[in-house]
Amino acid sequence: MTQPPRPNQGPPSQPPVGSQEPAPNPSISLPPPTLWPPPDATIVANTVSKSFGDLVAVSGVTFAVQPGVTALLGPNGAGKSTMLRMLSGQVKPTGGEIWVAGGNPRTDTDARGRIGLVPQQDGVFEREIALNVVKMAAILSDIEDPEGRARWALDIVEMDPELGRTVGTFSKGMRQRVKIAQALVHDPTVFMMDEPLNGLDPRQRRHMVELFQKLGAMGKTVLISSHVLEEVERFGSHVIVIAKGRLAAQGDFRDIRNLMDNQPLRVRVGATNLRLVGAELLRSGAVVSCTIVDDKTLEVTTNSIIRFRRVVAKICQMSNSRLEEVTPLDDDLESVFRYLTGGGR
Amino acid sequence: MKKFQILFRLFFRHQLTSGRMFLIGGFSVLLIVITLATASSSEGPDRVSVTLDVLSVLGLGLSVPIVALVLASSTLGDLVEDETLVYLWHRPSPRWQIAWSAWTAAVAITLPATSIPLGLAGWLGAGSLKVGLAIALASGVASIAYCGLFSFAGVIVKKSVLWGLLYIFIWEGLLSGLFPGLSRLSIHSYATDLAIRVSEAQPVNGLHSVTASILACSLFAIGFVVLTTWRLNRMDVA
Repeated sequence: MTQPPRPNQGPPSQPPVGSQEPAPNPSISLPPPTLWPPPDATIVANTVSKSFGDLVAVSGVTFAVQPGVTALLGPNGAGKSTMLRMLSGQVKPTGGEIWVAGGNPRTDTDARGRIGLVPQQDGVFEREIALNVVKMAAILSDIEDPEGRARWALDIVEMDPELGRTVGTFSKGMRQRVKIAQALVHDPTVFMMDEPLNGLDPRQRRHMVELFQKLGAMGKTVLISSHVLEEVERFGSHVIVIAKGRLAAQGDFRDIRNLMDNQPLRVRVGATNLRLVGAELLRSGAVVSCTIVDDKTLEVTTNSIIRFRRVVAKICQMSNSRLEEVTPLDDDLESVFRYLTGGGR
Repeated sequence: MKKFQILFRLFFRHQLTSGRMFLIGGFSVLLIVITLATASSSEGPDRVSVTLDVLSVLGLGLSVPIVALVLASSTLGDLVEDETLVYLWHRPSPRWQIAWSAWTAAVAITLPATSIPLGLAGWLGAGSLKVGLAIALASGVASIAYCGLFSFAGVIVKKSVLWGLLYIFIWEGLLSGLFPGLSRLSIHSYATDLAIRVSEAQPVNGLHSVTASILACSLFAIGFVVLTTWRLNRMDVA
């Protein structure tokens, strides 16, 4: 497979992560990568922009995606669907370069053949049965046994290939599974899925999340745009966050959270002798607020998690208290997302 | 070839809605009835001439382009509208295959759907098989050109049926009649001239030759399919 573009093809001169122009919350500063783009990157966006008339949908976004599952996050209107459409070649960027699976997906037929796309729109060919839709995708991708392969793909998404109803009579969830099956049928190396869990019931959602995880574990690149944060958290921890058309952050969301040093972090502390522990924590300056939740639990807010961790055990010891639990409450993806997209706490 | 077949099948089936079939059937019946009613009021050479005039205006000037517009603009236009084109467009197939198969599917329905009733109307109206065949030939040649044009319209403009109707009435119906120079760019003009020349029923002075008419309509068809391919290569599909 062709390597990603190297310096002569215009890689970003700035680190790709946390280096964009003012993101909604500009306080994150992740360490620059040693090599840009990473040698195993299968998706590279280099200062990509897209405008629709006067409206700037995406502005100078640079990132690279490596094999595994990556979630593309952002609030509604942030530009993530536009970004995904540019990455899949559906939409031409106004500026910048895109490289996916060995080429420019807009002009390179071979590169397009290595992408499995689940577009956002509901419509699939209404007057066809599911097997024909997926078989057609296989034929257009030069698959040798299109029917056999189509049956295989439908099996994977738990859909009966013998179903005689046309897609027009399907529920949203069934259409979604047909869309996923047509993306799987030619065994691509890169998957791009725009809200692939929409319309699926909880059991199917779990099944699809497992499927995406398996694909990632097989060395496929799976880029998923989603707004369902609890599920995104289950895909894996790698995220690209787009807010107001700009790259807000990229990386492991837990690392991103840890770098939010100057953001207050809520921590639940389980201990005996709570009142004394709370008072000592406040006196030490390691926490800025302290709330007693119940007999055994305190909820504190700290501006420095490192300092808090350093003192909490000592204070418990000094207070003759048994420390039973220390749990960060803002360590989840939603907190990271809210912060990065400027949603506040 | 397999790709072409599967695309052709998709486009062919996509066009065959009951509404469209009803429209085409209605047009055909109406055309035959009007032609017969008008022709029955004349006798001999006049009857042939009247039949040719009626079919030139209502058949080649209205029925053929409107049927072609309704069918051809929908082959790709509907897929652009409901955003399903991406499922074909994103596959590793050359875009010309999409354009050619869409055009072929449109021709496969438009050509028989217009040539048969027009030929029948010509034959029954004029009482001459030769006139019927001439009209059917002209209709077929016009169909391939109109299908090319309106397939292209489907990917270049929204509301392609509205734009197509404006084109049929203003360009083909009005301007090419008012300014003879424009007839070189009028499919209707080539089709009418072809019908008159082949039927040998009216004077042919100043008309396009048979070869020129067939060649021009073929070039229109090829040109617009090439333009459709060009458009598919450059358009945003979302």
